Amino acid sequence: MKTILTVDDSATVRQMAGLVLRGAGYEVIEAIDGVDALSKMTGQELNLILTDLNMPNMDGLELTRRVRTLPNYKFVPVVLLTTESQPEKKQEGKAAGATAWIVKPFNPDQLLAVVKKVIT
Amino acid sequence: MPFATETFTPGATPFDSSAQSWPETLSGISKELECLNRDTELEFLKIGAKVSEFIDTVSCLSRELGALADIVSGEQGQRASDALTGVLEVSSEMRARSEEGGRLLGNMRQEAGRVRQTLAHFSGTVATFHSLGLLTRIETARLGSAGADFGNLAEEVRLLARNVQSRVESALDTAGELIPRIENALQEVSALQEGQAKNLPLVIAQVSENLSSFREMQAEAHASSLRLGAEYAEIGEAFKRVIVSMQFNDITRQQVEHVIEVLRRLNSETRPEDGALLIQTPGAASVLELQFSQLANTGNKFSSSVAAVAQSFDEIVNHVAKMVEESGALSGLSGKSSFFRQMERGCSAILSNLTLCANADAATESTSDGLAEKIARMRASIEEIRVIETQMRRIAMNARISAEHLGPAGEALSALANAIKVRASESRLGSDSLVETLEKMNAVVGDLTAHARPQAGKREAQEGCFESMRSAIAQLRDSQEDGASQIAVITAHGDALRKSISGARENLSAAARFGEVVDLTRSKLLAIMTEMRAGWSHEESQEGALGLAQFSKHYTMQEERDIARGTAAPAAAQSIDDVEFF
Repeated sequence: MKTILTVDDSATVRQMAGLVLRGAGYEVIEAIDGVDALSKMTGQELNLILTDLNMPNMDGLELTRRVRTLPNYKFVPVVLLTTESQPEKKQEGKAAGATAWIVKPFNPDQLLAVVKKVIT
Repeated sequence: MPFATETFTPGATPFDSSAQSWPETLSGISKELECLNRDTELEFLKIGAKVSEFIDTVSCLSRELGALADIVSGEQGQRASDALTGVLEVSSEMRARSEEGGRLLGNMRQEAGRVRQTLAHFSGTVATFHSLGLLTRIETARLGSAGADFGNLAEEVRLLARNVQSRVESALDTAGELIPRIENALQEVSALQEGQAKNLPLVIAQVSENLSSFREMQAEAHASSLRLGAEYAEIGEAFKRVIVSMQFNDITRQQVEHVIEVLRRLNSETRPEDGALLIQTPGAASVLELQFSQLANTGNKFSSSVAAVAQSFDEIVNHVAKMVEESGALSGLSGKSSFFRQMERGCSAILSNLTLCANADAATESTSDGLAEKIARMRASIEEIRVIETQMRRIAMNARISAEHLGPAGEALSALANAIKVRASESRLGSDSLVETLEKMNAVVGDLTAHARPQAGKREAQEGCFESMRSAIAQLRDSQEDGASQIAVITAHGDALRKSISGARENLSAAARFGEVVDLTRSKLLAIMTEMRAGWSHEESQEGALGLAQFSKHYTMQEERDIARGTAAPAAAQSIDDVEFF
């Protein structure tokens, strides 16, 4: 079973993403921000990271940058799931090493299609 | 943006700002909004947990209903249908075999009748020949005493007559044994075949009718499965819409957080030139106006998302009701246990017929074996008779020659010689006919033997076919009986789910509370703005000294920025690509 780490400060979004992903057969680990995500990644073999952009403590861009420096996670896909839709923000995400960008609110079919396409 | 264009939700509590200072009011608003965010998130989490539970229950319900429909229309039903079709084919084969066996036995009976008839005629010929032999011996004795020399003619006639007697008697004995045996065997086999001929068409008609009814049931169950599938798909789509709508809580939460942050900054940051709190400066009116608009947008967004969740719940309840109704249609199928018992009875009847068929075949086979041996013995006797017939002809010829030599004294002997010749010819005709009949019998015996001989694995295959039908029907009946009780469970699950979703929908109090708090907050903001307008000139109130842009830097949505620019453009926001791969 493939494992996905969902990172969002909104419990509702974590819950909805978890519902969709678990329903599709993925194992889901949840984190409330970038710092929590990095600590939960230790010792885990993740197949995908789905992260919000704006979060307290450490945002999604910084998390992506940090993930890309970790040898084990260098090639693990990072999908940014955010209410942001500005092209400049997307460029920042791309530069940080994100794999894809999804604008909230996500459609369950759309989320699963993106996950299926990029998951390792 | 002029304040005059803003309106309030009817029923919102008007706020009297004179009772509190602006910083106190803003501080109170921030606390209320924080509280609102926390409470609505908690309520949404509860709804989310319910949604998760509903999805599991609907999925379970769908599986249960699918399994129920599958009993008849799925693999298990297909097995039963195949078994029934197989049994129908085997039954038809049995009927064809039975008819063929009957035809062969009829032929055998006909040929046996001919043998009996020919032998009876033969018997008369032998008696006549016996008499002629006796007369010939008397006549030769009489003529011999008158001085005629007949050599060993009299002795030959005597020996021949005795041989004819013993051979024909032997053939007749054999036939005597054979005919009753044939008759008995024919009677036994006929009785079995008549039983089959009488039962099989009824059984086949019954199996055929069962198969036809079963196929109708399969078609009904299949149609029901399709309808269930469609309802389930609709429910799935409705749940997806719920999931989308639920996420608006996160969006409105962020908007409210941004409003809270701005209000705090107005209350905590000071103007550098005089150290006055930003809320006390003229530009604060523009900032408050923006928050006023953001909250209006948030309130609308929140209430429409909750309405969408409620609507999706209503749709789910309707589809669940239809699924439960469909279980009623399936219960019509499961109430057919009598049908399955009837199928089982049909199966037992066919098995009895199969046993009958096996007995008939065994009896035919055993009859055929005995017949072949008896026919061979009869053939051997007839061959000996045919040798005797040749001898008779020769003796008749010798007697005629002797009579010719005797002249008028040999006339009686000549007449006897002619009679012997005629009888020999008659006997030849009889034996020819007998040989022909026996050959036909032999052929029929061959056909019967071939017919009765079990074909390799055929019987086992037939029995296997019936056994699989019995077990498929028994399984089907058991499943149907389980299914009947399962439907009660499904209906109860469905009803409970509908009630639970309806309950969750009725308890969606977040929208009302959110609306109340947002309206009250906007009322307070408007009151402050009105007071500000009274204290400052319009130009001062509108001045962007505070720099609206700096209050917008935390915005995370295009819509917030659009509102900030005073150009709300939802259409533009919708046209943005939702997904982008890098």
